[in-house]
Amino acid sequence: MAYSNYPRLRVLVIDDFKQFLDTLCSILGNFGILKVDTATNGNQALKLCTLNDYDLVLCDYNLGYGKKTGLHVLEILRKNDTLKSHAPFLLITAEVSKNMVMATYDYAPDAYLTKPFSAAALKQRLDKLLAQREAMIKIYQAEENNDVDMAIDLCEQKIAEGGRYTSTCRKILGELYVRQQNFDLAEQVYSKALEERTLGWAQMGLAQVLKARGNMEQASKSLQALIADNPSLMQAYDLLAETQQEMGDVDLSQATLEEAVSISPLSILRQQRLGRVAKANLDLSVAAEAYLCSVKLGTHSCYDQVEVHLNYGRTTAALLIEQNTQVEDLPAKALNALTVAAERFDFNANQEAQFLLVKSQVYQGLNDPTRADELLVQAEQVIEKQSDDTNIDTQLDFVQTLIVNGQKKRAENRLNELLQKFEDDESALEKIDPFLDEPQSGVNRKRVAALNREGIGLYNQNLFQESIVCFERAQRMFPRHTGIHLNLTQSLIGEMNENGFEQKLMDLCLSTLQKVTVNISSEHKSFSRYQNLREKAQHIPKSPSGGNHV
Amino acid sequence: MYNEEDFNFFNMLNTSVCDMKNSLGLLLLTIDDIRTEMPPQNEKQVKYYSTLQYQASRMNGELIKLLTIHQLEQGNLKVQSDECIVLDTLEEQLALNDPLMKSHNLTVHIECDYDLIWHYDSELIGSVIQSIMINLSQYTSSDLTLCAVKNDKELIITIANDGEGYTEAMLNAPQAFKNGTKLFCNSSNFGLYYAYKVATLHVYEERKGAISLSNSHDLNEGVFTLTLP
Repeated sequence: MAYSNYPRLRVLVIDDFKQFLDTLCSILGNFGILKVDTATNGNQALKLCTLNDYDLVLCDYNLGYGKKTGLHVLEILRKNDTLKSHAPFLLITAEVSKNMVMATYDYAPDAYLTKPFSAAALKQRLDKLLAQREAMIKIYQAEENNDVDMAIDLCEQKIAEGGRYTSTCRKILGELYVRQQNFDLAEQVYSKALEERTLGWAQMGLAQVLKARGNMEQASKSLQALIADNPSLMQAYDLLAETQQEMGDVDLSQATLEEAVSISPLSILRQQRLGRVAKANLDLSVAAEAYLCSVKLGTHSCYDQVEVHLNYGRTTAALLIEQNTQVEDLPAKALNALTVAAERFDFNANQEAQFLLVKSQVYQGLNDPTRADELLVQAEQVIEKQSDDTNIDTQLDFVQTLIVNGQKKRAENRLNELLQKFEDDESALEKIDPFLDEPQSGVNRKRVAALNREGIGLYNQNLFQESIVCFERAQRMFPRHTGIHLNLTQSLIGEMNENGFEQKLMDLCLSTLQKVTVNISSEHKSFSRYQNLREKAQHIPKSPSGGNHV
Repeated sequence: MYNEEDFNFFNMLNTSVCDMKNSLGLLLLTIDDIRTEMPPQNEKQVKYYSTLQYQASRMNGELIKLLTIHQLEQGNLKVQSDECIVLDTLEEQLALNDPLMKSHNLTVHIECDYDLIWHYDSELIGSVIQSIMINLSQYTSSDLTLCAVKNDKELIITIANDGEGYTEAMLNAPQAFKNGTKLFCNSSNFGLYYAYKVATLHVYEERKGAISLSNSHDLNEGVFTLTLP
C-alpha cells in the first residue's frame, strides 16, 4: 500500500557527505516531496528543527569524526520536544548490524536504513512508516494532548478491528493503563498479549505492574528471568536495578547496572545512574569509572550535568586519598573534567564553591598541599559571601576538604553545627551520616539496625563467614560506626577461633581495630568491649587449630 | 586522540567495510540513475547494466556476510527478535534488489498475508533473503516467487525460481551443515552456510530455525525454504 501524502510533507535530511545529501534530495523529490531542507551537521539540524515543524527526519548516523552523531541529534530532539513526537526519525547507517549501534543508546529511532539502499528501498520504508503513522495518528495526538482516556478508547477500537497494528496498539494500551495506575487492566492487556507468544515488552509490562503493586520480590524474579532470555533488553536491567534499590539490595542493584553498562556502554543516563548508585555504596573505583564515562559521553549530550563532573572529582579525590598512591593519569583526568565543567556551565555560587573544594581535594590527593590550601581559602571566601544560601552538599564538601586537609577539629565543629541546623531535615541528615560515628537520619538508623541484626543473627548461628560479609557491607556504608567495626572484629575472631588463623583475616581484624583506636576514648560506652576484643585478637594462635603438621 | 590498539584488524575491517558500503551505495544509486536517464538501446547494453548491478550488489552482500560471520565468531552478534510484519520484510528485500531484478528482466512475485506477523531479527533475516535473491538472479529464467505462510508453530518463507534447479551437491549442503560434515568452501556454500547460521540462531522454546533446498521437476523450479520457530 503506497502512501499518498508526500506533497504535504516537510522533510529534513542530515548527512555530512554532500554528494549523498544531493542524491537523497533528488530521490525525495521524485517521491513528490516538495519541501526538503538539508543540514550537514548536528548543530545545523537542531537549529532548523527549532525554526521549522518537520513531519519526517532522515539522518545519517555518522556526521563526522568527533562530532555529534545522528543519535545525539535524536536524543536532543526527543528530550526537548523539538520534533513532533509522532514525526518519524529515520536513521541511516553504514553499519552492518543495527545491534552495534542501537542497543547502546537511550533513544531508538523509528526506523533505520542500511547503506547502500536503492530509491525503491527508501520508498518502501517510508511508505510503510508513514502509513503506520497515518493509521495511528489519532492515538498519537491524544497521547500528545495528555488525553489518556481518549487514547485508551482509540487503542481498544484498533485492537478490536484486528490487523497488523494490533500488537503495537496493545503495547501502547498497556503503557496508558500503567500511566493511569490502572494496574488490573494493564495486567489484562499484557497477559492477553502473552497468550500467543513470549514477548519481551509484555513481560516487562507485567513486571512493572508487580513492582507498582509493591510485589518487589516477584517483580525482581521475573525481570531476572526476562534478562536471562533477552540479554539486550536494556529497560529490563533498569527496572530491575530500580526494584533492587527499593528493596534495599543496593549491592545487587549496582551489580545489575554494572552488567547493563558492560552491554550498553554508550548510554549516558545509565552511566550516570551507575555512578550515583556506586558512590552511595562507597564503591569508589566503580563510581569513578562510571562518572568518567559519563563525563566523556557528555561532550555531545544534552544530559551532561555539572554534578556529574563534580562527582567524578569527588570520587577520584577520595580514591587517591584512600589508596594513598598515585594512580596513573587519574588526577589529570579529574582536573580536566572539572575544567571542562567550568567552561561548559555557568556555575551558581554553590557550584562555584563545590568546584573549588573538589579541586582542592584532588590536589591534596596529588600531594600538593600548597595548591590545595589556596583553593580551600578561595572556596571559603565564596561560602562566606553567600552565607545562608550555602546548601548541604557544599557544606559537606567543605567538611570533607577540611578532613583531607588535616583540619579534623574544624571539620568536627562544622559537622556539629550542621547537625543542629539540619536536625529536622531528614534528607540532609542522610547525607551527613557517612561522616558520623552513628547515623542520625531515620532511614540510616534503620539500615544500620537491620544490618546489625542480620549479622548478629548469623554470628549466633556460628555462621562466621556470612556474618563477616554482612558487617563488611555495613562497614562500607557506615565507615565510622564503632559498633559495626567491633561486630566485624568479633566475627573475624570467631571465624579464626573456629577454622584457624588466616593472615588475610587477621590483617582485616587489625585494620578494623585501628579504625576504632583512632576515634575511641575511655569514656566511650563500648570502650571495655573494644579492649576485650583487642586482647582476644592478640591471642589467636598462629598455627591452625587441630593442625597435624606439628 | 588515537590509540595504538584501535588499529587492529577487526576495527580496520569494520571501518573499511563501512566506507566500502558507502561507496557501493553511491555506485548503485548512480547506476540506477544512469539507467533511468540512458535506458539500454540493445541487448548488449542491457547486459552491461545487469553486470554492473549484479557485481556491485554481490560485493555488498559479501561484505555483509563477511562482517556478520566475523561478529558471530567473536560472539558479538546477538539476535534481536522483534515482532515483524512479514510482508514488509519481503517487500523491503524486493525494493532493495529492485534494480538488480529489473536489469535481469526478472519478475518477482510476493505471496504473503497483509497482516501476517512473526518474531525474528528483521535485519538478519532480510540479509539472508537478499543473499539468496542476489545469487538466484544469475540462475533464474524469468520468475522469482517469495512466499511466506505460518503453520501452527513456524513461519515458512520460500524463495522459488524457474530455471535449472539446485545441483545435487547443493541440495545436500543444509544437512551437511547440520551434521558438521566438511564441505568445500565455495561461494554458493558460503551463502547457504550464512543462511543456515542465521536460521539456527533463531531459537524459541527450544526449537531452532532451519533451511532446506528442494527441486520441483514438474515446475522446473528450485525452492529455498527458511523455517523460523
